Amino acid sequence: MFGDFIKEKRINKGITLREFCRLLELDASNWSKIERGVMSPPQDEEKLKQIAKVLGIRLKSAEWEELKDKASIGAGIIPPDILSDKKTLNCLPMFFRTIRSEKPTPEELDKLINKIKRGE
Amino acid sequence: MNQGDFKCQWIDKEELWERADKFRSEYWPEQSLPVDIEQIVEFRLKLDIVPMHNLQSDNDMEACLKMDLSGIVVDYDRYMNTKYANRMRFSFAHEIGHFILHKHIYNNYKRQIITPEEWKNFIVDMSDTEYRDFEWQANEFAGRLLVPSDKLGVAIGEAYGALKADKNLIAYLNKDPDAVLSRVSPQLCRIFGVSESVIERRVEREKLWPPKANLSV
Repeated sequence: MFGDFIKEKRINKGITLREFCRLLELDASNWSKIERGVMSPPQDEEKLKQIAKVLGIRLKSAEWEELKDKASIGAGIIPPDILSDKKTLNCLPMFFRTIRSEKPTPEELDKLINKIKRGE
Repeated sequence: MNQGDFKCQWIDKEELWERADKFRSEYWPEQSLPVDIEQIVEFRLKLDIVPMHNLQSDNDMEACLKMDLSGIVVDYDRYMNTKYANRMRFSFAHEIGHFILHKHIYNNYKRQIITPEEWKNFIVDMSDTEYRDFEWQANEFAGRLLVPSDKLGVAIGEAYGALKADKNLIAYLNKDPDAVLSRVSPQLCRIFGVSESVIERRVEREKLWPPKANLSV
């Protein structure tokens, strides 16, 4: 998949998610979803070219063609409106690093559940 | 699910420190400072970093380890804004602490909690003291991971060497060591990439301040 492909290249180049998103002016939250295969990759060829450049992929190479093919296949990914309970649960934490160093309130827990369910 | 079984197992500080040192040796053999915690998370532990908008403003959270242990969720602004870099580094190290020290807890309970509502009740019912114990252990692990004791000793020795040039400061060091520490801690923070509160905590826990006259310079 496109996300695995890019993530592997990025990590092999020693570029963190943060740095990658800074270089390409990407929203790191969305890009993380693309790498995890829960959001469609970009389809704009210019953007794909910029990504290839950062990853050291030469245009017209076999890797470039693979990148474009995978982006095209990934265009069909439609994020669900609401995540299933199981998927939501997998994303929830057991412990939290909070600013006030206290357990979250029930209201904060509800907000977190809803945020994750909506795939934010 | 039996909440009564949810206990934080006591771990002596020496064992916590040893586990943090061992982890650092294994995952950061370069030994350079600051420890590049993001590289460890992404490249070596192969954990996803999952930035989430408004995690801090809506939920008062900076970071948390996902229940399936596949990644660390972080507040988007804290993660992207270099102003919070030191605090974020500590948050990653803290979550690694949970990953290393409390993995068995995640594995035990994720089988028993089936729905988000059950998860919420589990967190709400969790004893505050148990919660604090888990957090304390993760903090202690994180501090020791980012601030290796031997290198802190050397850095303090160097800071003391600079202090010795000023007789007034040496007099203050005897009268009010904390005040003098606050003067030198910014330079220590830069070396280790942590906040002043982390440095102050480490020197207190490791009994490195005030420096002894025989520290290496």
